[in-house]
Amino acid sequence: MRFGFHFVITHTPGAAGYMSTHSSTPLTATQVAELLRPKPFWAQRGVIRSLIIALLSTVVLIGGMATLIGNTQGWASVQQAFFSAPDMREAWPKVVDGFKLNIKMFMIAEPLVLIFGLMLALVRIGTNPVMFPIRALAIAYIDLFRGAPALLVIMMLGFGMPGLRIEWLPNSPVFWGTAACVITSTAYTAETFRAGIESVHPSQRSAARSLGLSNFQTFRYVVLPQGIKAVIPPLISGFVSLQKETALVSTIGPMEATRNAQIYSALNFNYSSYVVAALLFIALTIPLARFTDFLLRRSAKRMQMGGLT
Amino acid sequence: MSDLLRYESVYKAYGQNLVLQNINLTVPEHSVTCLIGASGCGKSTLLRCTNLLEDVQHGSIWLKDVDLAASQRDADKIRARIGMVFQSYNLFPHMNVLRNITLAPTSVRGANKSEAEDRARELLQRFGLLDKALEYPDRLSGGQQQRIAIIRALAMRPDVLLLDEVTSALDPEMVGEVMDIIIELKGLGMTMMLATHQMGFARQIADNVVFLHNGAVLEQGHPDTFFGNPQHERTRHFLERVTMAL
Ligand SMILES: Nc1ncnc2c1ncn2[C@@H]1O[C@H](COP(=O)(O)OP(=O)(O)OP(=O)(O)O)[C@@H](O)[C@H]1O
Ligand SMILES: [Mg+2]
Repeated sequence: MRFGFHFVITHTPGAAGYMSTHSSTPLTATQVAELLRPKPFWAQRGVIRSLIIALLSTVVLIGGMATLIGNTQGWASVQQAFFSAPDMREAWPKVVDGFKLNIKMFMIAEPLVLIFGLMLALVRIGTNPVMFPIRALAIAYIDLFRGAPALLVIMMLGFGMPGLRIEWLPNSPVFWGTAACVITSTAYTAETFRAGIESVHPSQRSAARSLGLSNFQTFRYVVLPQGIKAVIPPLISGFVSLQKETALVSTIGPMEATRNAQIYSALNFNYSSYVVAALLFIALTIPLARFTDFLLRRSAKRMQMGGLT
Repeated sequence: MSDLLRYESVYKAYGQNLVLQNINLTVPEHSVTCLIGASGCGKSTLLRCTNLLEDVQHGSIWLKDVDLAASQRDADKIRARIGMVFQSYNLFPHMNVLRNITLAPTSVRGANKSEAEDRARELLQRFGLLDKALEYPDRLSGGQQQRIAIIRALAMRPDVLLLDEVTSALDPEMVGEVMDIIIELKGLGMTMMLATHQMGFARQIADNVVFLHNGAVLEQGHPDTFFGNPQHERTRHFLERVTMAL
């Protein structure tokens, strides 16, 4: 039936001529090759037009905002206070120096957060009755540190722990500040991991068990990898927050970027040093944000292609 | 022919809901048993109990001389001897086809990787899917995914293969390619139990057709007698309804 129908439409001369202005002769091999030839990005249909429109609208918007702000009465003094080029240049080396400490704290904290977060999630998900007390502790921990503002945890540990005067405990503020960041981020990250693991469809478990995989093997090879993959974008958002949280450690003293910016600002009565610190944090965040976008786009594409699994 | 599987007075309940009642059934070696019956009659449950994905409340299921119902402790070993294929394929989406197939042989049987891959390639070749060895499941059609799922189960060299409505999720034009594999396996002497809504296929492939109603076996027999001369009023009624739907 279907083939007959097909035949009528394409090969009856009258019908074909009536239906379209294209001639019904097939394209030659060279013409097809031309069709399939990969085009550079800008040569694709509509790209140039979109680019021009985007550019124009950006110029109009930014230009408009600049005129509005630039014409306010106080702009000159605000510009002097926050965006003074000489001050920025002068503050730059100190702030950058402090920023190295931020990066160091982040680099030490993030792996710990991932490890502890995953461990905490595993404890929380388990159903073994022997583990009940540990599970209860894990839940209490998560509730507590997801709710407590990071700033308070940093101050309590940073001022409180050295105050205990326990000899074998380190009393460096960098140590306690980093520890506080780890403690708060771990609570969030554990919940992220848990959401990922629980999002894996139970039929995946059935399939793995039916092949003879043990409970542990099923988790290790089938559930966990899929669960982690599902939450990579929110995990990266967590990286970004943790990186910014390291700025809060300034409250207990270490000479990191914001602290150095603050010192400069206090000595020179100018806030441009803070803007420098902000720019550094932003510069570090942007690549992570674009990377997350990329991952999300890719997984959306996979969804569209539609695996039933 | 000796019996590969024997069900003796099997009862299964979900809470207050009795889903299987007094199932008595034998599955001879190298035979194909088709489970048919209305939706919710317990076909999937019977297969899942056989594979120990669910436990039964009463009765025995003998796999040769092992009582499955009493061996929850060795469940992993027994599951490895029983292959199961699901309606929704359930391939592991984060692994390529080859890894899907070799995961169980290497991690459960301790086969070494290259041996397992050779065997997987051999199976893929036999069923015309060798060119898909390195693809990920989301790049395959439903029919291809389901054929890979069957191969994945075969890679464990199971004693028996349980197939739960393996063609129900497929577009019509892909049903044939999956049925062909099952027919080929029958020719190779594979013992199979399959739940299906496709009476024509059941008639073609079954050695024994089992009609389940409300979790009990109402009638069973060779397809010619079962379809040609059904004994029970309910069976006749069911067959009339499904043939009318076609
Ligand atoms: N996990 C479960 N928990 C509770 N009840 C269940 C569960 N699985 C199945 N049931 C119930 O058991 C009964 C039998 O279900 P089963 O899936 O075995 O039917 P089926 O014959 O395979 O139906 P279908 O043809 O629709 O696949 C149904 O009443 C169903 O609601
Ligand atoms: Mg079913």
